[in-house]
Amino acid sequence: MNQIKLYDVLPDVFRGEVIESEVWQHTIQFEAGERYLIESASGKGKSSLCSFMYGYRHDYSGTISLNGHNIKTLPPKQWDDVRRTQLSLLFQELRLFPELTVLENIQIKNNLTGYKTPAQIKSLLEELNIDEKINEKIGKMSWGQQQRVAVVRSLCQPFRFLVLDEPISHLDDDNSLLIAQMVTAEAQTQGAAIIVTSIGKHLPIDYHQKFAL
Amino acid sequence: MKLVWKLLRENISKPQLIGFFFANLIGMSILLLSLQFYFDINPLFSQKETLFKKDYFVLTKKLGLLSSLASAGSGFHPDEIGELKTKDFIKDVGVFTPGQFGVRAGISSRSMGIGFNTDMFFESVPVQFIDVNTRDWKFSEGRNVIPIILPRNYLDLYNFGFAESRSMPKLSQDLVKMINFDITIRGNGQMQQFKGNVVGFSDRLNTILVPEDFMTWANTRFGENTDAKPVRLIVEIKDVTHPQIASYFKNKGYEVNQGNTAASKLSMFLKIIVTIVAAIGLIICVLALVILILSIYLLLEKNMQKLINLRLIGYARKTLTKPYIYLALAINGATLLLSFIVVVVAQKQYSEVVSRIFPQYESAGYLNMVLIGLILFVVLGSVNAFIIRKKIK
Repeated sequence: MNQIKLYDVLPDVFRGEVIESEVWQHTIQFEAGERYLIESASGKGKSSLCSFMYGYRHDYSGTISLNGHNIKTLPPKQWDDVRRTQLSLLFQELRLFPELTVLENIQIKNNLTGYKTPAQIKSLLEELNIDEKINEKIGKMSWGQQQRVAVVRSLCQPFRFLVLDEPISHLDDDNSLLIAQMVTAEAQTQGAAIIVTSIGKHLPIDYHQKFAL
Repeated sequence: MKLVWKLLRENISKPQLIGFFFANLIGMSILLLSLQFYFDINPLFSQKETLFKKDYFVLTKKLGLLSSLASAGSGFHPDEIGELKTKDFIKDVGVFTPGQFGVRAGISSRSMGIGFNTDMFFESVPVQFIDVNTRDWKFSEGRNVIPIILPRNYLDLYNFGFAESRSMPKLSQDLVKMINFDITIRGNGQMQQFKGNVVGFSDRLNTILVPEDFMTWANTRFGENTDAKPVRLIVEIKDVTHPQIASYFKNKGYEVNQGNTAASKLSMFLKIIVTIVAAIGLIICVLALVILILSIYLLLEKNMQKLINLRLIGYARKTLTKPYIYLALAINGATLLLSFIVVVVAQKQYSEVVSRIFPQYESAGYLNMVLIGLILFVVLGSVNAFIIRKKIK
């Protein structure tokens, strides 16, 4: 999968409104290997866009296609496959499991894909300075710490597109930089695209293209 | 998989599952036990040669005040006999042919110088209705010996009633068979001497029987009323438990002399009771199933966010439904096994009681019960699996 294309996409909630956007109701495409930033104020539909592309919300008009296939027609089994091997999403709401520890939260994804070795996982956590809390329950940690764990989890799979929905909303500049380096390195290794959304503070990487949502 | 299970079992409510477990155990046990009881007991009511072997009924028409005056009305018309033959619970119909001649029987012993005589009667029925097996059951004109079958209760009546009270010697069956009776038959202006020989005793037929070929011969020779209608019928019942038997005879105004439509009634009661008990068991099972389904629903509902998240990070639906389906199967399987044990234990208990009452009782074995249990298990499992799959999308 090397291409995600949006044709005339508009969330149902915006129907009938006059929209000024470089994404909604436009035809745009994301290519594997590139880096994109989608920036906007809050309430413009960033998370909606991510959930549309990730295939778990369908309340939009227009078409989103993966490699030319309309994602609305993808059968559920194929979606499982896409989410394991093609498309990785860092959810804005993280969707970690509070009753599991840091390591377990990562393992639950990695067990499925078998993509990273335990040593690799450990070194990723070390890079982000959360390796000491590896056996702590995630529910007891701060949002910023959880964000970093979620980033590591999102890297524990093969992907062609890495979608990061407001990845640094609760992180300081140092940590933002660490994450920026980590995701660019991983994307480069995999030859994958990074799509980042942001409401002001951008993940500091070198973007090929920026869209105002 | 271990992590998934760790996540999903978090919200399992033990009291709910225990509640389901016991409700289902009780329901399943009642259901299977009632079926096992039915399989065990039913043969006692429907087997041919065991307890209720009186699947022969003797029919007469009810004697009313008027019918006893007009004797013609008490006989069976050929149409009525024909109709009986068409009934699906009747296998065969036989006619009691009465002798239309006078019979006098007596014993005389010249050596002892005593003798007695009595008037009596003969009847005959087709040979297939006779419950005495003997080679002597035939008459040939030249030999002048008439084989006779007596009802066993005549002998009992003499031995235990008359002989007992008068201090007279009791007669064994073999002794009676050795006695030669002098029999005189007269009618139609003729008279002939025969020897009578008792060849057996019948439990079924309450009359003095002679072979049918003798009766035909004697009726043509001595008979005075050749077109007499038969007044008694013997019918062989195909299925003594058929519920229509009693009501049919009653509607027709026929009297069933053996007084034994009891088997049919008993069997009907048995069926009704077993059906009611089984239905209660089934209702409890269904309620238990509802509890299980509600528990699983609740569990799924409580875990819904986790399930959605797991689906979103790429877990297949099958992987996520599996733990719940296994859980339901494990609980159902455990209740099934336990209820098998309950049935076996309870069956041993009632078998003892039943075999004391009915010595010929034999257990039907557990095969049917186990099969039905397994079928229920599969059905319950499929319903559970279906509901779980529907809930996790």
